[in-house]
Amino acid sequence: MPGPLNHSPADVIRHLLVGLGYGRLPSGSGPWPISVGAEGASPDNFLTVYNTTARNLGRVMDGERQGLYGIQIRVRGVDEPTAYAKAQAIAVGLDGVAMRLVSLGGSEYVVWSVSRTTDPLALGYESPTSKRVLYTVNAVVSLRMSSD
Amino acid sequence: VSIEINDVVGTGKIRAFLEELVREQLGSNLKPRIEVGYDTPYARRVHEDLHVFHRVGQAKFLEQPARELEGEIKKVVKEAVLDGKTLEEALKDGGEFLKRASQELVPVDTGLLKSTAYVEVRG
Repeated sequence: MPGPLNHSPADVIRHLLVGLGYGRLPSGSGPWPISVGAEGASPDNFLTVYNTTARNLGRVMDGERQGLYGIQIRVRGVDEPTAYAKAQAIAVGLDGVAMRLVSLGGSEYVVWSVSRTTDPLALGYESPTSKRVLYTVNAVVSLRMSSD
Repeated sequence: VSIEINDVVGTGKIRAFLEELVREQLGSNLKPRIEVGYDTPYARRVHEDLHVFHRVGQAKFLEQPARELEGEIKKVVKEAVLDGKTLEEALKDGGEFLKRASQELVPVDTGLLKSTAYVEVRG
């Protein structure tokens, strides 16, 4: 994990997704709000980003630890086609991320790459009585807070 | 060491692969692969659903140890090779090491999940 971060990787990726047009911050307006760590009860179509276990890649000569941050994007859709299409679009979109700048709370981050570790995974209905459908997309992320 | 979490489409299994662990050291072109997984239709849901609270265990019960113990798994495999085991046997030792670590994290409120853990040699 190169260098310190002022925000969690999940929060950085949330803002990356907003920048890529996949959703909006909960405080904004429009479809597909994106939260971090806790899914909202409404609307039906909702994205949540979680931090998961990082992958340690060891240390470089100057002692700095290198690694990849783990994240999970949870897609909740009003129905199966909606959830699948969104999860698939995000998966493909993340594959194309390279050296993307993300501004967040006065800090700037460089997202070097996002490597998916799974295709979109179907989890089924949100609950036995719900028609909402869940998918997850998992990835490891190479990012660093900009020192400029 | 390369460890990735994958999914078997249509079955809901969750599995991790350990591959190419010692190929370079042995100068071998063999590409054996060890699969560590859980063979229940609901393994994927339990593994992936980070919203659910488990009194014992947790989600990501396979991915987390696969990433956290990557170095130790590599060490287990290396030591097995140095002890004279075949590449497949050494990889199997690495897979069993991961399986045991994973089983300690498996939620026990979901029935038989824990007992369906498996290690298989492929390729």
